[in-house]
Amino acid sequence: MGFVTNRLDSPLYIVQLPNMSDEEKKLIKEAKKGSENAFGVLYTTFLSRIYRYILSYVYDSHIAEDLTQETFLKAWKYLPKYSTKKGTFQAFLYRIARNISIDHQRKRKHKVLNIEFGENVTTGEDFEEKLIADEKIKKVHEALSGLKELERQLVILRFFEELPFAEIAKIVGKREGAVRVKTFRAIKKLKDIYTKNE
Amino acid sequence: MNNKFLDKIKEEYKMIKTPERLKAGGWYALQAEIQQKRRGVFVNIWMNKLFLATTLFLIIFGSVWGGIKTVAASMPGTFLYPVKLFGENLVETTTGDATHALENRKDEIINLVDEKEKNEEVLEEVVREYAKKVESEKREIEEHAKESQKTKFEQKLEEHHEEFEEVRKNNSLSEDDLKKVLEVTKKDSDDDHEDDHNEGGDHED
Repeated sequence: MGFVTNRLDSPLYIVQLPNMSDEEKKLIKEAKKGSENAFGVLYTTFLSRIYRYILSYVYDSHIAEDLTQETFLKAWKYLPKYSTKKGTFQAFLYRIARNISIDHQRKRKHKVLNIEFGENVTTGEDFEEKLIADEKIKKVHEALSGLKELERQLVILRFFEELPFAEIAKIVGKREGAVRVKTFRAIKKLKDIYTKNE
Repeated sequence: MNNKFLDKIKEEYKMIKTPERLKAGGWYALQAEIQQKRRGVFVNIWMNKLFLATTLFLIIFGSVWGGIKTVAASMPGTFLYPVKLFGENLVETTTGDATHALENRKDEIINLVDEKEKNEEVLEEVVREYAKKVESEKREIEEHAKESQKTKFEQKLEEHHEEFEEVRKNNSLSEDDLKKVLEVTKKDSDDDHEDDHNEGGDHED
């Protein structure tokens, strides 16, 4: 993954272009040929990030689980069309996740994918986990509530997920320059809200 | 503010854990779904291939069948008629059966007689061809063929004779041409009988 400097508010940011590791490229190549095992490794690698990102859209851990599975299923389906020239695999996954989340929000109803995994009974531990996840994302949501949906996503992708602008541009389907401008505007807006509240 | 404020939210965000259930069983569930979809795609591909093959076969079969039928229905003077004659020659050479060509000439004569706007020239030509074919076949049978082939040929001629008789009843306009083919298809025994009769007449005279 690319490296982003910590001086997030500085205009003199340095962004190293995203590079996929050889191992990742190899896995993608194998998965494209139809290797489920290779895709399984990619699934494990990106699961947490994709789940968290989707949760930041839907604010419901149950729905986020289903949409995460749907994202990877779609990624498998469109994998033969994926090319590294179009961007990193990570950006490819985030883009699918974003589209699925937006679709879900549009429909405003929980479209269950019908993928059953493990015991379908929520154990006490699971329930607690979900509560914590929902609570945390609620805090994030509250903190970013003064921002518009796109601004919120830009902040999440750029500062929390630490993705380079080039990848974010591909995920949200906008030009890189526009993404940079919008992201810094979002940060300024956030700063103003915070200062006012202080 | 920026870093502190954002770092705090980031910390909260990063602390969101993926549910254990998803981590442990998510991939297996997804893999099962992928395999199910793959099977579906596989069946679809085969169904499509089968459908394509069947369609292709039907198109080819239909075209060949239609082509054969068109050629078989072609009449003298038409574009496909030489193909028909070529086919007849091929059948005759490979099977030694000349009745196929004879059958075709008979059908052509009947069709030409039935036509509203008669093409007398063509009809005469086909009648001539028919007569020629019958004569040559008779000679061939006399020289080489077995008794069974002779019987078969005679039966065929008898059938044709009956058909021509039937056609003559309904068509008075092509009387001359039909007389010729009726003459050709007449049984040899009838000829003998008529000859005897004629000879007898001569004696009486």
